[in-house]
Parts: sequence; structure tokens; C-alpha cells
Amino acid sequence: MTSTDGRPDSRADQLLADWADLAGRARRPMEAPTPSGIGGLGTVLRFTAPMAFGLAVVLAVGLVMPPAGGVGGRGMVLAPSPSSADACPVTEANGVHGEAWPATPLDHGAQGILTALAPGGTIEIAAGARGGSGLLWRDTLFAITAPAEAPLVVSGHRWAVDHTDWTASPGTATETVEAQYPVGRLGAGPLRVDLGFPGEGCWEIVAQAGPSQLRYITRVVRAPDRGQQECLVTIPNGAHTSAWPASDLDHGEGGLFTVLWPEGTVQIPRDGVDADGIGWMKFVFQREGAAEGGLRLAGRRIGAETSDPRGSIRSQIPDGYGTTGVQATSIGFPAGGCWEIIAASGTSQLRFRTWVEIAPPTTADLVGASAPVAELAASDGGRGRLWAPGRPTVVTFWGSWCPACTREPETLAGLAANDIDLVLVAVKDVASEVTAAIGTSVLPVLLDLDGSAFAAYGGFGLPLTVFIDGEGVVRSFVAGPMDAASIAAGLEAIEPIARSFSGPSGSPSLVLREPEASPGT
Amino acid sequence: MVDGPLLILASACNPPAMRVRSGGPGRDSGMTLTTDAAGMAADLAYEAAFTRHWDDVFRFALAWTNDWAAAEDLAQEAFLRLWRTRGSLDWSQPVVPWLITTTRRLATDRFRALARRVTPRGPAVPLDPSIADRWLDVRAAMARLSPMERAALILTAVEGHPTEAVATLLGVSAGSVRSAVSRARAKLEDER
Repeated sequence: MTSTDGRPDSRADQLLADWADLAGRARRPMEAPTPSGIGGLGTVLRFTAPMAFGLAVVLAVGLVMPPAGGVGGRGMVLAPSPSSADACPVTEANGVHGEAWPATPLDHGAQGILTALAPGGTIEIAAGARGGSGLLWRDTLFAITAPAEAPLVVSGHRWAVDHTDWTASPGTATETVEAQYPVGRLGAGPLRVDLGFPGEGCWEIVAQAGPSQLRYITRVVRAPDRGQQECLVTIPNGAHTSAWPASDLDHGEGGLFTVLWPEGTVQIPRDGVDADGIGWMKFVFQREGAAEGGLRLAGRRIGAETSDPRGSIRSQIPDGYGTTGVQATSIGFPAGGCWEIIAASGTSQLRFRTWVEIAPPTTADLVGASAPVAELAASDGGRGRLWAPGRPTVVTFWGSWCPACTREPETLAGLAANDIDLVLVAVKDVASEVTAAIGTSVLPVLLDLDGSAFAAYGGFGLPLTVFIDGEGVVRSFVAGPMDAASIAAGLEAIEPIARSFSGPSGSPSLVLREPEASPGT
Repeated sequence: MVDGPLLILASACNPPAMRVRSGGPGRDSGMTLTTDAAGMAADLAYEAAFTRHWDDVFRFALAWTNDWAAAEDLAQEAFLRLWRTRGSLDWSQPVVPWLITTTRRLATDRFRALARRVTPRGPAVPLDPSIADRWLDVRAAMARLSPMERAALILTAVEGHPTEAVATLLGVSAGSVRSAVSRARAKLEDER
């Protein structure tokens, strides 16, 4: 018996052929395993005829699956965004609202078709958040009232600056927005329509119900975070050493061993984060045979630019462990995410990939600590720092789209009599909306476009006001709208900078200054 | 009843992206309408993955565990996980690596609770008695290999995946795959 290439079939090949034949006879379950059987085609068949068209669309987009042999390949790639986000004249909400939901500043409507626009005119879509099809999916609310009394049809196309003729054909097939409807596209109640965008950029949405029509322009951006599921963390390979009891987290190669963290995830608690924001975690290594020698550690964050200083690990490899046996280490991760670590010792190398989660600070954690530094775009087109050393600063995080925040700019501006810097930070906002909301304020307004500065301050909800003293230490904060008492307490905490200054006592430069009377009155 | 912009009516405003992250893909129950078109798309994508890849997952699980019943359970469990995460999965990426990695993770001993659950259940041989004896022979030969060796050998020799892809699936270097394959072949030949 010979195989096709002329070599005699080996025992291994015979076994493999047998194995493949037997494994191919596995009996597949009759139904896809789902917890309650609600998945799969059963769901589909319950939908009635009017859904057929929508279903066809779902089928068309939902079944874009990689080929069975697509290991390591890539599926559909999203279209790049050809138009700059700044060139997108997003529609501002006209405030027309109905009964379907409580009035919000984002309500927009015409001719009986109502919707709620995205804050800042920008729809931010987390990668993969909606699943399916390679489109960026986002649900949008609509309602149909008189005089519009026909089923809703939503379409959309990429908006271009020179697209002056709105009645013209809206672009190519790949440049149109898909819509998925709930059952029945009629009624004054909220209709949650899922819009699937082929890519980032500037899009015009057209909602029609009979002769009624509502158009608006919105910007679509894709959230950068790719998420843990795409980090193919290293599964411990089970190579273990006699240096410690065997465990299911043992991982090793070539005489170099370590113990990985459960679930492929390094969870760094808040007290493991140093003043520079680097999260530290212990890793222990064992060096045997070819791995004897000084341990070296390197690591990079998957997806980080090579120039990104927060894209590589820090490491602490204490002396005193010699060149063989156990070496304790600490690895410092400047950011969470997917990290690949390379440990090298002797002639051996051990690689592993792990997901890192660094517990985010809460604002309360920051009290008494250095205020995070951030340089942000300013609404006047320049750039500005959140705070600068030397002067106490009050920073209010706010948003023009946030109804609970409407009084905050005024309240903050009311503190201007005090000898402190005031900064208003618009979170996830755009300059035009900020200007529309507060006019040309006396306050410097910074734009925290991606919310990262807000997150660095442990922000959870807007508004948030942080009191930073002259040495850059967070002394107090107010979560929610400020009132006279919270302002007084906050200012009390940062005003007497001289008292907190650790200079020689009796120095004439130390002039105790009484806190001024509480403003806000 | 609805999610989306209405959440900003709460006394504190959550910036949009945080809502997206915390709420996930509209799966926060009670906050979505019952008919969810994007959810349906995910359901269908799941259905397609099940139809096309259940065999792939079973064969990988069988290679890794060398245990017919455990492999069936693992494939089942892997697809349950896929079902639970279908709403948050990026379906534009190939799903097989996700399934294989999940299966391997489930099969690894560190999931002890699951291991306890999967090992004692069911017969150790295929339910089809006509192949049970043959399977016991093949299984005995394959038992001489480690899970990594079996998986490397079967993914390359039977499934026909390139070495680099197998390395990605198994989380080791391509060199490790090559040496695992040659070790595996040597052990199988040696058994003669």
C-alpha cells in the first residue's frame, strides 16, 4: 500500500486516516445548542410575512461568514472613511418632540416623523458591539405621528460636501445604510430601528413614512477598543517544573517556566497602580538547563504604535536570585489591553499573551493624589491644559447634550471672582454645540472628544467638578450639580495653598490667606 | 423599554461611549424592544457558525481530549459560549479561531469545575456501536501523545491547516508546532 506520493503509508498516516474517518462520523446535535432553544431558525420562523423583506436583508448581511479554513485570515474589512469628520455638517436637533419618549435636547422631527439625534451629532459605535455583517450597527429611535401615518422606511447614504442635489441617486450599493426594523413600522410608540453603516464618516439619513420625510446628517465614528475577545490569550501549555507544585496555570518552554494568571487575564487592583498610572503585577519564573542565566523581560501592547511610550512594559527584576532557579519579577503595564510578554533567559525564550485589566480610578481615589494631566483641544481652536501648577483650579466636566448639566457653566463662571483658574471641559461634545449652549463664555472650554480625560478623573456621570490645589493635588470633588455648600467645601479645600505648603515655618513668604466668602450666591 | 438617548435623562449623564460599553449590544434585558434586528443578525450568524463549524470544533475537542464524550460536551459548551457572546462578537472576524481557542480553554484543566462536569458524563465511546471498537484502538494509539501533540498533528495532517495558523490556534510558536508534530509522528510510528 502506498500513498499518492509514492511513500509507503506509515503507521501514523494509517492512524490519522482512521482517526479522520471516525471523527467524521460524529453525530451532530439536531439543533444548535442554545440555553432555551430561542436561537436559530425557530426565531426566524415566528416572524410574520411583513418581516420577510427585512429578513432577507438580515440573511444577506448576517451570513457573511469566513470560510471554514479561514484560520488566521481576516473577514470583511470596513471601508475606510474618505471624508474628514470635521467636514461633516451634522444636523442640530430642532427640538420637535412627541409623546413617544420624554423630551430631550436631542429631539428632532419634521412632518410627523420624530427621532432622537446622537449627542454631538456623532454616533460612536464600539467595534463588534452589534455583531454581524461587518456593518457598524447602531439603534436609533423613531416615532410616527400625524400627519405621517404610514410604515417607516429608513435609508441613508454617505454624505459628500459636493452632494448638493439631495434628490440625486445616493451613491453606490456599498455606500448606503442598511436598516432593520422592529415588527410593524407604524405607531406613536418608539420604533427602534437598527441602522447599519458601512464605515465611519458622514452620513445622511432619510426617514420616510408615506409622503412625510425627515432628513438629517450624522457623523459615525468607530470606537477604537477592540476588546478582550480578540486578544487570543495564551492558554497555559502545562509545562511544569519541580520548583513549585504543578498547577493548571503552568506555562513553560526550553527550561523557562512561569505561572500565568487565571483566565488569561491580569487584573490589577487600584492599589497596584503607581503614581505614573502603571499597573504592577508579580510574575515568577523558574530557570533550568538552557534557561539558566539572567532573566530579561520585554513586552508590547498589541496594536500599540512602536513610538508609544505606553506601549511597552516596565519590569522590575530584583538581584539576588542568581542565574538559576527561581526569579521573582514585577511587570508594569502602562495601560490595560492585550499584551504580549517575552521572557528570555540563557538561550531560552518564553512568550505569552495576556489580557490586562487595570482597575480604573474613581474620583474618590484621586483625592489626595496628583491630578491627571491632560492637554485637550480648546473650543476656540487652540489647545489647553486641564490645569497648570501654581494656581488652584476648578475643573467642571460637562456636556451640552446633558440636561442635568445646564446650570454648571453658569455656576462655574460664578466662581471667577476667586483667585483660581476655572476650566470647563465638554465631554464627548463638539465645539459648535458647546458654543450654541453657552455662547462665547468667559470660561476656557476644553473638548474631551473621546472622554479619556473624564475617564482619567474617574468620571462616571456628568456633571463632575474637581477641585485641584496649587500643587496639582486633587482635594475635593462634586459629582452632580454643584450647590453653595459643595462649592464652599471645595474652595475651602484648595484655597489655603499657603497652609499646605511645606516650607520653613515662619517664612515671610508664607502669607496665610483666609478663604473668601463662598460665591455662588 | 428603550435604550439610547433616553438614558441621559437620568440625573447624571453618562457619556455615549460608556453607555455602549456598559450596556453592551442592546442586550441589557428590560431595556430593549423584544424584536431586535441586529440581534437577529447575530442569531443567524450563530446559526451559520453552528452549521458550518460544529464538526471542526468536535474534531478539535476530540484531538485535544482523546475522549469522545468529553469532546461532544466540549463542542456543546463552546457553542453555548458562542451563543452567549454572539451579541458582542465581531462577526467580521473568522469565528473558527474563537471557537477553537474557547474549546481549548474549556478543555484545559484549570477549568476544574467544568472538567469535573464533562469527564464522567456519557460513554467513553461513540454512541454508534459499529465504530466503537475501532475508536478504542485509535484512541489507545493516540493516548501516547500529549494533547498539544495530538492537536498539532491533527490540525496539520488531518485538517490541513498551515503550521503558522495552527501555532496561532494553539498559542505556541510555529517551531513548537513543528516539533510537536514530529514528536507525535515518532511516537505513533514507534508504537508499531
